[in-house]
Amino acid sequence: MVSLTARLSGRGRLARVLSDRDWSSILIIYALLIGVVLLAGVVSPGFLTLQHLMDMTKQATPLIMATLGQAVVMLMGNVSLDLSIESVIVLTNVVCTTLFTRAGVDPFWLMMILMAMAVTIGLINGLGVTVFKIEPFIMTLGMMTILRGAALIVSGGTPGGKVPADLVALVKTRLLGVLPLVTVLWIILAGFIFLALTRTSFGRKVYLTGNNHRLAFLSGISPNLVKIMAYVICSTLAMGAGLELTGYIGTGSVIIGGGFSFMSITAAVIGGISFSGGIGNMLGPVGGALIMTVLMSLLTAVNIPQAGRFILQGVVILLFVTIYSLKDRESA
Amino acid sequence: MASSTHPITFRERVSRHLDILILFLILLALIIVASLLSDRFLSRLNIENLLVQSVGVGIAAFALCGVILTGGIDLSIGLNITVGNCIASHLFVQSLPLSLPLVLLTCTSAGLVNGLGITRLRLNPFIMTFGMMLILQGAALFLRPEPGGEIPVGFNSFLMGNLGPIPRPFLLLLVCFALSWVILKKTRLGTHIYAIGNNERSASLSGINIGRVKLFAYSFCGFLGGVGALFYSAQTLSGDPNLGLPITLDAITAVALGGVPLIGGRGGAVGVLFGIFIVTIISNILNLANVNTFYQYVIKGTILLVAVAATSRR
Amino acid sequence: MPEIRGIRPAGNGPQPGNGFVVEMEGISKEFPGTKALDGVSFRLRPGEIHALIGENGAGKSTLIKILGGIYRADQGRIRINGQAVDIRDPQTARRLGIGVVFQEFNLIPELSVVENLFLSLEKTRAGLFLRRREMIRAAAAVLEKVGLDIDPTRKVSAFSVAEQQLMEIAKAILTEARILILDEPTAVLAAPEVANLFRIMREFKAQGRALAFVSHRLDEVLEISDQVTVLKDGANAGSLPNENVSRNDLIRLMVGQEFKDIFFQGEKKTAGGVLLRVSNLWVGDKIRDVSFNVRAGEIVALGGLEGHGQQTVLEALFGLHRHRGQVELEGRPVRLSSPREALKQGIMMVTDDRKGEGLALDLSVLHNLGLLNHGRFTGWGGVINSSREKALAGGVIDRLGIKTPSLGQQVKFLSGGNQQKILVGRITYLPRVRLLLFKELTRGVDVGAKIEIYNQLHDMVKDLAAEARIGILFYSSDMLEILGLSDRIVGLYDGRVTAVLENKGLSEEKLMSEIIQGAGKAGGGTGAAGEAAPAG
Repeated sequence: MVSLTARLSGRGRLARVLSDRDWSSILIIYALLIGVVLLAGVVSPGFLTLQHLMDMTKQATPLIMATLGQAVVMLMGNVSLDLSIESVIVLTNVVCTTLFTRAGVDPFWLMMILMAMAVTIGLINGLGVTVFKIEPFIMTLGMMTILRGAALIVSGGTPGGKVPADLVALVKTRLLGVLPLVTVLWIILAGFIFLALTRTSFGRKVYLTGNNHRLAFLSGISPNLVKIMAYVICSTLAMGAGLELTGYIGTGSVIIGGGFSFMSITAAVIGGISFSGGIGNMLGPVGGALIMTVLMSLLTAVNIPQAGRFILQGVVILLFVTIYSLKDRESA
Repeated sequence: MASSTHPITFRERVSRHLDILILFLILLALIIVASLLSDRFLSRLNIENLLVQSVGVGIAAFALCGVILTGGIDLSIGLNITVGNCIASHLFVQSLPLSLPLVLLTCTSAGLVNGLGITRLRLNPFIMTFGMMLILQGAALFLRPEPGGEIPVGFNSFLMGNLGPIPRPFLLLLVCFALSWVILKKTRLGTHIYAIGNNERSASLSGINIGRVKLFAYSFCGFLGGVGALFYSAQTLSGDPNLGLPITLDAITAVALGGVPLIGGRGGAVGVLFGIFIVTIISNILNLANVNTFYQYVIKGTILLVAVAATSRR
Repeated sequence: MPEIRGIRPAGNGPQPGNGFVVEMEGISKEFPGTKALDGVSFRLRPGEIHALIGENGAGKSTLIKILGGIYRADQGRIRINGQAVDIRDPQTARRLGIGVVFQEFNLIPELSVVENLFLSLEKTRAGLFLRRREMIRAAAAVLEKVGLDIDPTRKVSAFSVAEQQLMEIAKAILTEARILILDEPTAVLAAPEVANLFRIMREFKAQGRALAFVSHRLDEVLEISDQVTVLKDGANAGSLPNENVSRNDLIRLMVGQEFKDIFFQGEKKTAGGVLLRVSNLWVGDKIRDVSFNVRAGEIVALGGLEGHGQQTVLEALFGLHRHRGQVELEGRPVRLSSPREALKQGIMMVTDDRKGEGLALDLSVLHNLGLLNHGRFTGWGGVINSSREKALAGGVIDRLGIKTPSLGQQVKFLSGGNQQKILVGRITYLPRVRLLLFKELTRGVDVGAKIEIYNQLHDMVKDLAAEARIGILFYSSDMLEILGLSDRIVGLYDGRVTAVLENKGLSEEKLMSEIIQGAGKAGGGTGAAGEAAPAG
């Protein structure tokens, strides 16, 4: 009998990193993304210019970052999710503008404080879910409320103020005059997380924890630690998204990032992440976030009233997920 | 060797009712704290206020109860109520006897659609009801881009009056409670709901028609949403497209506090009733103590987490 | 509830033309990737206890699931009492009088016994409102029939596994099942509970009902069945009445090998020094003052009646239970506070609950193999060296003969035996293995895979015999397995060590009696040393 290893080494290396399900879902998402972009080009002239497409990628940055974080948490299984990210975004903005404008804190220290804040929030979420066994939905819901209050307190209800010039400049920067720096940033970020999840020991632990908590424990891993780290990663990414948005808007705001919690979850689900955990990769959610950004932009351009936009978003989400679900059942 | 008789242990007896007992104690503690904080708390006006306050979230909580017990969820309940409210704000003035059933029908159908998506299309309840939530929000905005419209005053005085010392809306809440309780504890539907929430696979293999039970749960949820819409219409005398999400979140809080875990299978209407009261009283306390709204958020969130952590079964 | 008295053929219902109550002919069933059944026939008579045996993957489970309405056959015919039927779902099966008790119970633990018994069969007023008192009465009556004298309003979770199984049977009686199918009924029972089950089965038979059961326990099959049908690789391999049939005959039909080939007659390996020394081990109040040794190069079995602490002791040695007492590895005391600690010390546990805690079902073979020690194929920063990982995995697959289409294949698609091999194969990844703990060594594994596993064990021990460093500790509910594999047996009774025996010239009966009698001696000495729990 020919040794299995000899036979197996024939196939491509990447092919075995991702499973068949992952590949087919990625294909669908990106095909749809192209479709939506083309549709937008038809409906709204000027959409298909390089400039505008680059703008789109820039606009998608915060959602992509938030979705990446959300996806990592969702991988933990048992309907794990993080509802608090939109409050993290607001809090980031408010803390940033308040400390900078009213307290004149140096941008470097500002960064440190924000990082510490994000990590702490992630730790609390993680501890609540693991040690106190609070369901993630409730835990992060509570956190969302608390942080929103905190944001209101810090801003005193009157947002506004200035943002460090460096940040604004960073967000505005375009390489070669056309490629937004933040786009490069999220590409690198997504790539990094993708590689970390598929090619490192940590990534293996993540998938294992999400797939079978008990087995992870019996294998000498601390699944609780992995879960806590997932929440920390998520909060940090949410903070990053908040920073980007802050630099973009250039001032304080209490409605910044509204709806991001649900949108990131939707983008992740569209991207093939399963609520039961342990299944899915990062390329899909990025595509999902891009699709949603394009759709939103499209709807604004076509001047559809708010009512229509909501309805459309809801219909699209349901449509997408139905197609997925049917596909999954077919292959099962 | 036949199995020896197991007398039911005292421990088991206690644990059956332990959850309710804890909730009762928490409620009692809150009442005591409140009455210490403010002598207005136990005033008749405040109590009446409280009872009426509890109705909006309460009806939504009972709507969610059955659905969450099956292991699902309905994120759209708040919007369901909103849409019903907006429809009412258009049609009630024209013909109350015709449009009232229409509101109930519409809301029930929305719930039914949720149920169909979850059972026929096998969609995750979170996603299905989330999508529905967006669609309903769009519908509400379509019906009422701005808050407005008109509710006949007669409707308001009927629904919002008092029956003796008790505010009528509260009676409405009690009716919803009774309905939920009877269904859950006294009918086979209720047994099936618990079975599904506990172990769907076993339930299915035992012959339960999962699809039908879930469809009922979601439809009933929509129905109670319609009832909630009637209440809000009577209370606010207008249609407001922005009622939405906060109702959902408060209702979920009340249910979770009431001892029903999000994965379902455990808990009941009595616990949820306590949960509703606890949520309402906490808000009331914060208002009486004149706590800044900003801090209210923080406090409410913290209380939710502490309470759930304390009551969640290890 | 009407009961049929008398012996077969009972005069109840339409008289089957040829005396069979169940006839399955030409049944075929395919799943993606496997043909589970290929033209299988199965016939059941009223008043008959019919055993269905075969290796895992032979198709027994699939066959009874078809009978129970969980699956539908792709081809073939089924006749109940002579009438052709289409069993499309469990409700139909129930209506036809077929009651199935699966290995994984279909009881809802949070609901009460009576609610479970009447699940989807509730007695109601107006089709909706429960008639609780009536149901409670009926429940108590039927529970009594299976020997359960319990309060039906209690939650199912308050009862033991054996009692729950009886509840499942009570449920079948309630549905007036004339055909009872039991899937591995004794897998979770201790000896006295098995005796009770057999009593109930015989009563069924006396009532003219038909009983079919699936089992891996050939002794039990020989003890109770009237007829035995053997399946092999999805096809019939024989059906014979249980007259003068020996265990070997059955195995030969199932597997084609002689039984004595199964257990290697050990070239007596010289055991090395003491590898594991357990002294005064206490775990809660379940394990009391247990002390024993395992020498390097030795296979030690924890024996005795099932459920008397063997599992707890094993798990404690893997860091899963808080314990008091001393554990020494190679002379040095170790603190086994968690699986991670245990693994660091070179202690590895192989579980019996493959699908639950043994495997990450949705993940790939590659993923599942290496999960104990990523360090074997990762470099700086935890980055995986892909070719090294695949080479290691490929090596294990080859050596153990794991059948999988690729490394990336999700583990849930592998057969039970191959899944078990993955559990064992993980061992090779550990940097240092000193002690192997096997939970329920080969539970639910077919004879063919058992043989392979025994051989692997043999090889493993032999390979390291030169260095004589590994020790193996296991427990099993299969007496013959214990006798066939172990060098020494530590007998536990009620959480205490009651016998330590060299495996020389022992028979099942002798072993059992030593263990139980040892309990009598130890029990009489309560208040002796070991009664007071050591502090700390």
